[in-house]
Amino acid sequence: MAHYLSQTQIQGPVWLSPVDKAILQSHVTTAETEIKNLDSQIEKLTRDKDTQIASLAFIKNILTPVRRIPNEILSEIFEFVCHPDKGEFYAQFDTVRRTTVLSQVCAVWRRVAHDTSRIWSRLCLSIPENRGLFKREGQWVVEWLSRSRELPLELYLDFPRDNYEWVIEEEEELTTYSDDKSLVQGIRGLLNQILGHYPYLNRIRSLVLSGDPLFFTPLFLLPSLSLQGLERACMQMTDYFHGIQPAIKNFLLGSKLRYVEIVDSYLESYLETFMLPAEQLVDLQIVTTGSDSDFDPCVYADFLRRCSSLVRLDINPPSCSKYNSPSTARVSLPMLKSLSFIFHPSYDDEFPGVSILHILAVPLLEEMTLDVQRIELLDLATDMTALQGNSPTPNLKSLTLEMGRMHNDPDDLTSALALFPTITSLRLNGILFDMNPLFKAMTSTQSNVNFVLLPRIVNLELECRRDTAYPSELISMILSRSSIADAGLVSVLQSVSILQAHYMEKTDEDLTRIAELPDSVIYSELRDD
Amino acid sequence: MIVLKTSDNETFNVDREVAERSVLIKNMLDDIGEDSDQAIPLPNVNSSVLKKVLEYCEHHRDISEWDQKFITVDQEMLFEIILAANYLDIKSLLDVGCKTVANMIKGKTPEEIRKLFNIVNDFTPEEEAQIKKENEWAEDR
Repeated sequence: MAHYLSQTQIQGPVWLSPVDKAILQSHVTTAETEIKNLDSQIEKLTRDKDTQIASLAFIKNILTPVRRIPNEILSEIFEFVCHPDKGEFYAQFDTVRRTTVLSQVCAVWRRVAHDTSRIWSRLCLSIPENRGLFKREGQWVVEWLSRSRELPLELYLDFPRDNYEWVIEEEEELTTYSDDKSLVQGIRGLLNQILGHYPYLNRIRSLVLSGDPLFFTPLFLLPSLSLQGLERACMQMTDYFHGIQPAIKNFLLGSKLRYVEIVDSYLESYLETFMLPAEQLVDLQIVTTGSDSDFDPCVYADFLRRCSSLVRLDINPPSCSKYNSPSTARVSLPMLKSLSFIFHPSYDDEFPGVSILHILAVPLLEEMTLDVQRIELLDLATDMTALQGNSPTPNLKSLTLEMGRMHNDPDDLTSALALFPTITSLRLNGILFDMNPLFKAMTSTQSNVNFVLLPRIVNLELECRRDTAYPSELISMILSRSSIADAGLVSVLQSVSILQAHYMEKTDEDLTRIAELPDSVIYSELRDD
Repeated sequence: MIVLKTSDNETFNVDREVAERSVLIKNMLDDIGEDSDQAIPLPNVNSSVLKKVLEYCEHHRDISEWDQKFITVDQEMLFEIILAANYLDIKSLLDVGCKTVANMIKGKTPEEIRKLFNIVNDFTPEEEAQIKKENEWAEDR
């Protein structure tokens, strides 16, 4: 037996005496008993360990600093969690996941989350992001919105027609979300749950709709006066309305609508699809296709004529030959203070169009952004002369020009800017050409104080897009205005900033001159990466 | 300069303008009058936290980079700063603290959040069942 026990391998048949056998079996029994004892000890130790782990977690749960935070601060933290980093909500923002996660951490967090009404007042739903939600019974949305208490509601809905992520198999018949009948039904059911509760319907303040109109049918079929609390509507939908236009015209009527953003297709403008309360709008943003629409662009002028309360307008309508006709009535916007406009060239050689600025009258205008990337600056001068002819703009203080694509003549820019003698802030974006002629015209001398370009300017911002020489005349211009400020006819520049200044190559002389600038001028060079 | 006295009886000489970033201290100073040189008691803030809060008040600019560096502290200090900012009513500091915690939470599952903050899942079986139901949609894509 001793022979076998001393070897690590059994080399042949084993022969044991009855006594050896008994001894070995006794060892087996002892070892088995010992193992059982150890198992039992391990089990007990594991149990003890688990108890200690639970006890430790329990103590840490009490000690953890997050537990010391009062519920109102926890609520504030939850609001930050459920708010997009860039500030603006959008349909693809994952409100549902973020809000749900907060309510599933522990009992206190669940209670605080449910009591933080603001995080339940904005609902963002997107088919690509939340598809499973639309296959559930729509009752969940009623519970969700009930937690918003009395707060105004904001709905951001992205229900696109096409599913760009689907891999279409040979036998796959579904090609779009709109073809998925259960999805269409699910979304309609969900909308019906919201719209079927009068308190919710009445509290909808903001609606952002994007996608196929088919999904929004329950909303569009609401009778007028249904959305009485609605203040803001943004719509960007596919142009196929499935023949429901006549029935959906009135759903926005009777609302408090003030802010409207629409992205028009080339078939029909939403200004015609829906009856919008033009008279009460204060902020209107219209993105058009620019030039190739199938409808008369005069629809924009006709609508704007009714917008007597409009304060801010952002629009890019195509040019139109009718705007050049003396018989075309002006569009008077008596309250307008801010105008943002994108110019489109006219492609019609037979009846060349002009921009809607030719018929606009905006006497209270204070700030204007003009995108002139697609036109010659010479055309800008023509349009501005027409605009000023319709009504002077004595309050115009701020002008931004988006340039960039066209290689314009610097003298044309100088001529165009001469039409804005009242502005105090000028921003030129996308500079591609020599700016020295402009700064020369802005340089003040004792002999030209009465006709120097942009005499009231105090803030100047320049943004470069391409390698160019530093405009050597810039510093001379700034210094010229500082030295004759006593005359009172020409303002002193207070701030000058150059964005993307790394595109500009400076000479040693430029650097010396920049160093000569007085402390009264805030001069900065910024790089936006 | 004014004198602030913390819960552990330490005193801090602080520029009035800096201290008045705290609405609580500003109100207290208004109450006791301009000329008083008595220390302002702050029984809910200890000296180590007040030191950190004053650092914020002295150096605070609207530069998020600075804020971010400032608030890079351990959880204990982070939540104490939030409590102090709340007590002293310094809205901007409270926001920086709350946003920092919010950023720690974003993108995490409930279990990951529990682990991060040492929170125990204390839901009742009924609540667990409800939560399971709430999550069903996420599996159906």
